Amino acid sequence: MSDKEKFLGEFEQMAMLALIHLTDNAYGAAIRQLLHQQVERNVAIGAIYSTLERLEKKGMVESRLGEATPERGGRPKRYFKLTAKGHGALKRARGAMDTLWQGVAIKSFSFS
Amino acid sequence: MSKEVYSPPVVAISIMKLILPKRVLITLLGDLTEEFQFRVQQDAAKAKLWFWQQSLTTSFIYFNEIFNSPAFVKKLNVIVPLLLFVIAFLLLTWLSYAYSVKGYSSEFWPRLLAGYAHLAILEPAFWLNIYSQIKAIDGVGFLFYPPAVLSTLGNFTILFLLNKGPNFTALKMACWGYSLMLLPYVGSIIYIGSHTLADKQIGPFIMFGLLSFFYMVLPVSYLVHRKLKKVQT
Repeated sequence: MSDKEKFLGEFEQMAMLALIHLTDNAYGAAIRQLLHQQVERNVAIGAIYSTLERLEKKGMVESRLGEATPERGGRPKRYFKLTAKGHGALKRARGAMDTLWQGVAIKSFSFS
Repeated sequence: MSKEVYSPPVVAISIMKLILPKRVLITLLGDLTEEFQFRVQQDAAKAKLWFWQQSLTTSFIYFNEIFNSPAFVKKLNVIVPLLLFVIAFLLLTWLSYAYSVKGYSSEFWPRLLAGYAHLAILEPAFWLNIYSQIKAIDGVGFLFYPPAVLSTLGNFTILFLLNKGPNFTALKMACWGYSLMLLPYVGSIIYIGSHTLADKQIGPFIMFGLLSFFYMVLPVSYLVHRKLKKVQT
């Protein structure tokens, strides 16, 4: 496994965590809204699709087509789900960050 | 009160249809339309602006992806060198078999004497007469010039030595290969520009630059292609 495949980027982790939070309702618009509301990250829908497609190619995410609704212009939803490999990668990423954060205290500076 | 029905901006959708791959287009457009319908009930103008911003950013992301994909670079590395090879061949034919510059613009002759032979392709007369010049070809001798052969051999030796290095990537191969390919032609223009030469003395310098380019363009493309294939595997 190359380093690129072994380590997850920050946005990849956010997108994967959003899939866990949304469980069976993890599709583009819902993921975008969750990231906007929960972490105040207003991302383009294309960034989400591009990231999830990349993760799907690596076998960390899988997707299926859902129902089409009138408010979507009759277009179907694409639901994403984390695979066992994705869960493992996410756990490893958290473990690595937790290890690095141990004993670290960031002081807040005030310039006033 | 019934809800007003608004449609997302058609041009923005068309841009995405043009750039986005089919595998994501329909579901992604569905997501954008769904959020647009929600936003448009609060502020129609803002919703349209939001849709435009989303579609342009998304198109840019996928446009970037296409340009950075190895498949696209591989295609580009075949098409552009092939085109350059044909153009170089036509220029060499023209330089060897054209008898006058009649019909060419008045500024062309001084430019040609300065070494800018490639500017011939911008002249309509070049394209009008090239077929008769191709028909006049009576052998391949005009494609052989010993100084250009020697220079090309030298350039390939440099490339092969560089290629032995451990970190000689496809990008480095492309940069070095195509630079070495252009160097004799650019060098000939600089040399002609910095020396006082008689009209008859200029021809061999132009031929040297163009033939070196002609000899190198396809082999360099092949070497880059081989490197890209390695990256993909």
